[in-house]
Amino acid sequence: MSEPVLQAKGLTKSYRSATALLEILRGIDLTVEAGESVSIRGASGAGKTTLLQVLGGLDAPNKGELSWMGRRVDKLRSASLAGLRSRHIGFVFQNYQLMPELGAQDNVALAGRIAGMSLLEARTRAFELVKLVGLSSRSRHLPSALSGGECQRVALARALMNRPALLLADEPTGNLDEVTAVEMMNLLLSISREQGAALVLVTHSSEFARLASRQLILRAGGLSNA
Amino acid sequence: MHWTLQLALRQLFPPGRVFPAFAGISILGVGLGVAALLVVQTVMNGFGEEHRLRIRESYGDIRIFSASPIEHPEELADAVAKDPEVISSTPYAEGPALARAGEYSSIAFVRGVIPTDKSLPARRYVTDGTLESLDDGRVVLGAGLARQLRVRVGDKVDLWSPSLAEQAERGRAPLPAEMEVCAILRTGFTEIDDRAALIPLRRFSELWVLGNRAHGIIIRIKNPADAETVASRLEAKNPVGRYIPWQAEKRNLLEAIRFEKTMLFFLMFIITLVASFSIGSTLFSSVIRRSREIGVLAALGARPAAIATVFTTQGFLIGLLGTLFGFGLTFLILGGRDLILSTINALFGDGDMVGQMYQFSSVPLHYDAADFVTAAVFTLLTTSFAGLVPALWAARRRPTEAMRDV
Repeated sequence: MSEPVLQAKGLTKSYRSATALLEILRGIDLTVEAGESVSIRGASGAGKTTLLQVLGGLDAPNKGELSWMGRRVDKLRSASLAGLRSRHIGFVFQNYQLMPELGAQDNVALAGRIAGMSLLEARTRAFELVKLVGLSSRSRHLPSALSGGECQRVALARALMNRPALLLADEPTGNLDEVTAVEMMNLLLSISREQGAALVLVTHSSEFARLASRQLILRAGGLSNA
Repeated sequence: MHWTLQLALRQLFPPGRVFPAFAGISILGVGLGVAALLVVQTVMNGFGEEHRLRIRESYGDIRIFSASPIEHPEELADAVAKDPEVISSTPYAEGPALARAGEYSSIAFVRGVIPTDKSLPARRYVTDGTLESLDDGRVVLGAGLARQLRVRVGDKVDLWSPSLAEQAERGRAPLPAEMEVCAILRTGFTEIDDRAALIPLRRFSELWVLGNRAHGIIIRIKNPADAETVASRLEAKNPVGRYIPWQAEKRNLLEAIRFEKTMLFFLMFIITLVASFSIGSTLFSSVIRRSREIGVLAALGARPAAIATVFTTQGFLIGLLGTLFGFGLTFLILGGRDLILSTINALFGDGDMVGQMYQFSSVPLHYDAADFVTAAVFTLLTTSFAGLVPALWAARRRPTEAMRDV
């Protein structure tokens, strides 16, 4: 049996404010298998984004273990962690977070270049992905010339650039209108399935959360089944 | 092209902008600093080179000098000429005289030369007449001296040597030496042009009552840079008088010019430092403005060193382009220096300031590749360092911290 794509055991995360210790995550246990899609819902301020950042290695847990593809990553130095992240994890952010000076194709290719692809290889793969998300005619457009939905498609293409085993999507439809949000969510689920990537989706929407194969709720720092 | 370079270029020169303000102003600032540095250095080199050239032309590469006139100077000159490094060695004598033409008079510094000496530097500066016709009845005058006496080629000039004055003191009534002007020379060095008068050495000996003696020997050698070594060797072989290499003539002046150049380098470099600090400050604000993008780069798997490289590269690129712009500006300013100087003179000065203060008819130049290399290296180091500080700050931030900003 293959290793789970993601395994978290007893993850805790707290921040020290001026007056108190804020415990955001309290002993999170989560296992995501290859090809699985998991949605996480929760109230504003419940710590959904923090959980996603800890799972993606952008922030270190205070306690607990985190493994990607069976490899412990919670104790790795930032440079080693960055290398692994570029190869195994794809992020989709609420605000797209595209590089404003790069065109759509170059934004997608950048993820490949960071992971060590050659310029030609990265641009070829990037164009395929831009085409896959339906933006081949706008591949050279800067983010400022794209609509919110188009930007999010570019962000999705970028997240898939290095054929990640795991996609982490943080409110990917949060800035989109209803119609575009539905389109985007269908695209995210279908493409992640097509590309064989597991998906952890953080969302407010119960409607979108139900589209995932497993639904979880983050409440009082812990995860439970919806 | 590495992705860090590609991103640095895109951030410096965003597509679709006619004038990228940050990059443009930074490059302009660095370029002005580099140009100020190089213009000053090149002009200072020019002053130094002109002085060195004039010293070598006036005193030769090596000068044999004696407290009392040298007896049988031709014999010593012939002995010295046997050295394989020596191109020519010719006796000379010099002294002041009163020059008069009609109602106008001036003090001339007269030098007795061998008219047939092909290595005589004065040949290069003759602007009117010919030095070939110099004989016992003729004189070559500096352009400034000729102007003061209101004479041209073909006019007559009376020369009164100190010996003639001594004869007058003893109650005789000597006649001045009447000589025809056969050539005018213009070296561009005011001290020479306003005073120099050349006559044959034989005629000088008569007027100064030197007999078969000379004041010294002027030696020209194949490689002037070796003058000190050759002078020591010649002095050991022919121990008559002192052998003075050109580097020792007016040593204080040359040292002062060298010191002045070094000091000006550091003063002018401050301009480049100021420009670099402003780049550092602007890059810092750029790093803060791009906090979210830095966080995204980290999320995409960029290592902290690579993120630092993006911003250090921007500092380096500004330094590189600023240096190239500064080089171009240097050539432009120095190419139009006479126009710039005449404009400054017209606005603030009274007449020929360079001629009055520095003895040159125009601003001298000497491009030295070493100055350009030094300016480029210093500028690239400081601008890269200016980019490095904010870059390290950016690289040390945690991705989540960066993404929370803005």
